[in-house]
Amino acid sequence: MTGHVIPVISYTLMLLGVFFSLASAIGIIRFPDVYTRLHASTKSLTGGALFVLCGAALQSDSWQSAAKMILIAGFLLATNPISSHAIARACYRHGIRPEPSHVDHYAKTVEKEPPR
Amino acid sequence: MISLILGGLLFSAAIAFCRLILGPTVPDRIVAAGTLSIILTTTLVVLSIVFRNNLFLDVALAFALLAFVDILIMAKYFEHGELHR
Repeated sequence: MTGHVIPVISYTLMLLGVFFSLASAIGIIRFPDVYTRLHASTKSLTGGALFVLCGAALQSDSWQSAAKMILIAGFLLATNPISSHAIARACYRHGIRPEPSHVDHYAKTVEKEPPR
Repeated sequence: MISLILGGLLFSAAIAFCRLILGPTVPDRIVAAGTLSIILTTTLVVLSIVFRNNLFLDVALAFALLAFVDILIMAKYFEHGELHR
């Protein structure tokens, strides 16, 4: 009985992560704008990768490989928001605006900066 | 079960690759490339479970690091039009 608990938890976590990855891919193909696609690519994809990596770490043979999977998970958790923020900032500075926008506080900040 | 997980990951990678091909503007393609890199890192970790080989984990770590630096450099180049400013 106890031998079946850990594989069931692991496969459940991995299937949940695959579901989040599929949701993020569908969002990328269906959303209309760069910013909305970035929204789909950041949150659900980070969560999905985290779930799949935790499920894989539960199934690994030794603690070394499990530690390496947790290291990869932490690395993705740290770097994916940074790269998404860099892409969004580059899009705004390049002149792409989110189209039906009612409140735009970042425009004042960009206008106040001295031109380089 | 593990083939279902691999199939789902590769299907989402195929959808992201469609956006990489179709994407009307450049930042769409950058977003699709970042998504594709993260999905493929996850796929490499699942492959290390399938083949019982720890070498895939090192490859996945290096791939994630390279993809992060790539996305940062592409975003900076897209913002300024040149690299050093």
